Amino acid sequence: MWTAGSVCVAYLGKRWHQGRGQAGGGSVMLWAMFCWESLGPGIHVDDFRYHSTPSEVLWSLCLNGQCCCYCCCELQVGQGEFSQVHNLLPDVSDAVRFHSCSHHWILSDSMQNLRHAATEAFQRLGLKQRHMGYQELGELDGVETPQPQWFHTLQVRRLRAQRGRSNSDPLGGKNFQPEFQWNTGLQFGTANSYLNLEKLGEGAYATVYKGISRINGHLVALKVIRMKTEEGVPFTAIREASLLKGLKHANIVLLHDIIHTRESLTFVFEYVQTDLAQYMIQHPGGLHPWNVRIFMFQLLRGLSYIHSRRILHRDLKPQNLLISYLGELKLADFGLARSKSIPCQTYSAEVVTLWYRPPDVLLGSTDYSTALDIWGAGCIFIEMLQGVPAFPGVADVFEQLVKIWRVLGVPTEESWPGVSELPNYKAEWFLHCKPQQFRDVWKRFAQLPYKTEDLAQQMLTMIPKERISAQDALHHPYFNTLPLPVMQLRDTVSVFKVPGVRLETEVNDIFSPNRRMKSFLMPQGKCW
Amino acid sequence: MEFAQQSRSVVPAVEHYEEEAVLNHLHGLQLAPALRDLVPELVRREIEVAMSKLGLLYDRTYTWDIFSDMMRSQQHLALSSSELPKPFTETTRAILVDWLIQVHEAFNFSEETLYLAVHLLNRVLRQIKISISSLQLLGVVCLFLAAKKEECLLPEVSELCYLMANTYSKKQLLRMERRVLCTLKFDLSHTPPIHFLLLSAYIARCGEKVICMARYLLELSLLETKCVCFFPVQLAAAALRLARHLIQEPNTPESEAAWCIASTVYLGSEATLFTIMHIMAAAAARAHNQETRATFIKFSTKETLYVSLHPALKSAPRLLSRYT
Repeated sequence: MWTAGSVCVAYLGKRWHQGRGQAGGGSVMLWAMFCWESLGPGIHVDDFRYHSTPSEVLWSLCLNGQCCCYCCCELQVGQGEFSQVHNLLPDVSDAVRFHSCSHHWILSDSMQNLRHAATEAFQRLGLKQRHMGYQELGELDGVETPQPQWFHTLQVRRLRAQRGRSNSDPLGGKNFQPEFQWNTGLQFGTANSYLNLEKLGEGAYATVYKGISRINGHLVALKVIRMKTEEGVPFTAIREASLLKGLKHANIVLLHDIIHTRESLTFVFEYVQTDLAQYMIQHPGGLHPWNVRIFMFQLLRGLSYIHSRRILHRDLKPQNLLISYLGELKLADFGLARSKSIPCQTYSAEVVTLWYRPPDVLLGSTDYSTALDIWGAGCIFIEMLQGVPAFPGVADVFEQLVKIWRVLGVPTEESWPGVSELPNYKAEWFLHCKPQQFRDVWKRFAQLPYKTEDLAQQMLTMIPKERISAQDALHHPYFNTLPLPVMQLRDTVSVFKVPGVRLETEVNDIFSPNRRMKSFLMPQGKCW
Repeated sequence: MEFAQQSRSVVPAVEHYEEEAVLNHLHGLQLAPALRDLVPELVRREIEVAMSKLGLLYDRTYTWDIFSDMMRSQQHLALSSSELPKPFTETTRAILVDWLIQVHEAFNFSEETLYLAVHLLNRVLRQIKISISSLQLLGVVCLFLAAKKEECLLPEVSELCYLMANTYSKKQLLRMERRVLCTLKFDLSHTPPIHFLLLSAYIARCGEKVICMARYLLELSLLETKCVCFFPVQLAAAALRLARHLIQEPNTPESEAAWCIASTVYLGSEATLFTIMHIMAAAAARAHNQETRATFIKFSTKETLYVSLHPALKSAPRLLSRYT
């Protein structure tokens, strides 16, 4: 079944006939876009991202003359503004048929041939050397392509007519090298290599835009940092960039590039479709327990990775957990993160959003440790299962603490040695709340096996030293039902590469499929 | 194949083959936790205790990961040669670093900041072409960036300009900051040698005076151009070892055993260690009548136990040749 498999989309940018058709310095851009359906689960879009330019991919496909290749040419009139000019079509085999749905193509039996052809072409171009050969791909045949839950919202124009070859057709000429110099003039690190498409969100010290790279056509998230001209680059930006530079992990958002000009500083991140907060809004009433397990595993995997590098995230919340259409979860927004060094500087107390803040920090402790992030992860765990935040304090620190005491009980010097010495501790808080079973507070736990509750309880332990570490949590029996290889993945490999790991359809999707359609056509929240 | 595949770091340097073997070993340890058992239990426990006591950790669970990460990351950042680009000599560099040490002290920054600043300077000098007239500006920008990474309280740009006798405008400083960041591609990561020094010293149960002496020697090595191509852990080990030679603490079987464990926190050959020790000993012997004596003065106060005035320092090179 090839319906709606992993659609690999690549955009090709070409500075085309420079100097012609230019008005006011804007250059004519040729955006060739081609999509092909399911070259096989083994060929992933990542294979192209790092090891070849899209033009190489395109050529490899065109040389075969039988792939489903679909291009559109767009004229850039002004900054960020496009108007469609042409549809161009290379030789497309008759065997390829388009399905009526604008996002999904169903390809015919020639799929197998296509995969052969593509792989061979890659090998000819020497692009596939570092990847699996076709034989190895074959072994993965039994693997079902993960079902994308939604796609990004780029418009894909359907082909209308087959055009004759012209000089402007990048695919028409047999000898493609002389006339067309693919976008080699554009460099990483320069501002005009990226186009802003739309604003995604605004943060305390930055604005995030959706953008597109003119170098390789990937969608990107552009985090534009306001520069305080007086004091140079903000230190938060320096810390975030230098931390992220050292982090290469499937569950950490990838920093592609940094553009630094006099007026602004822009971080170019991989584009991730949505975030956990949006995802939970789309699927109210709690997520599918299996999906919660996959998300939690990825969250803990990311945390374990940064904690083993002496980095605390310090600002965990659903808005900062990005979710790709496959369900890959990525930690983002390291603006408050810090790596540890010997002089124990006291960080400001205002670090974690109140709802996800652990009781020790609420009580004024500044002795932060990895337990800080674990509490946040525990709160998110419950929020995913239950569909509502675990401790939604409204007013202030005190109310937040009361919410926690109601579940965990008021701490005493016996149950938590040293608690009375914390700055915000007040003895009159003896409202006498008894610790409760999680399953009595959050009903979803009663419907699930005990180990779910056990993990949540270990993550939401009052005393920070006794909270489970991310690494130990990954080995908790709760994750035993995941396929075993997920435990031995390399850092940069996503859990979705493991056969058998895929998202289940959320319950709410089954009952209202229309909503799902709409929700993925709408631009999603902030992404970087 | 797909999973648990050992990703090897590319190592260009040939003479570092020993280090490479050790690093690959460490790398393997990180990937296969069972291999950790190869490291003696005692060493592991000592490192764990020392790191958590020094506050280098948040959580004991990750001690070994963090330690191997500290050891491994040095390699990516190591400079291949100690040669300076054309217009600069060892003297100009020493004068600049000496001045930076003074500025650093004036701002009351932490030691990490200084080591990071000089490390950035070493890297940038190799990568960009600047005239000798803007060398001071470059130095200040490196310190400024290091402070932005490490410190809570930052100096103002105007203050820094004032310190440079207003030779450069604020605009020039910010432009240089941009240039340096672009050159370094925003990668300001560095494991300061002081961390390794304190770690080894803690494990070896060194006395306060030995630690202070080692810190002095380590800081002196910042001025030595020859030292820039050594790993932080090598510099730290050499400083501590030389300090122990200079200040003879009473030997007990326990301290010997502790020293044995501490000296395992090292990468590379004995020969490298002795090379560095000789450089440091020579630097320490002539520190008192050098033009660049900020470090000498800094370590001649009561708080620093007058280590730079220690009589053994003058005869340090001779003392060392007796040992080797």
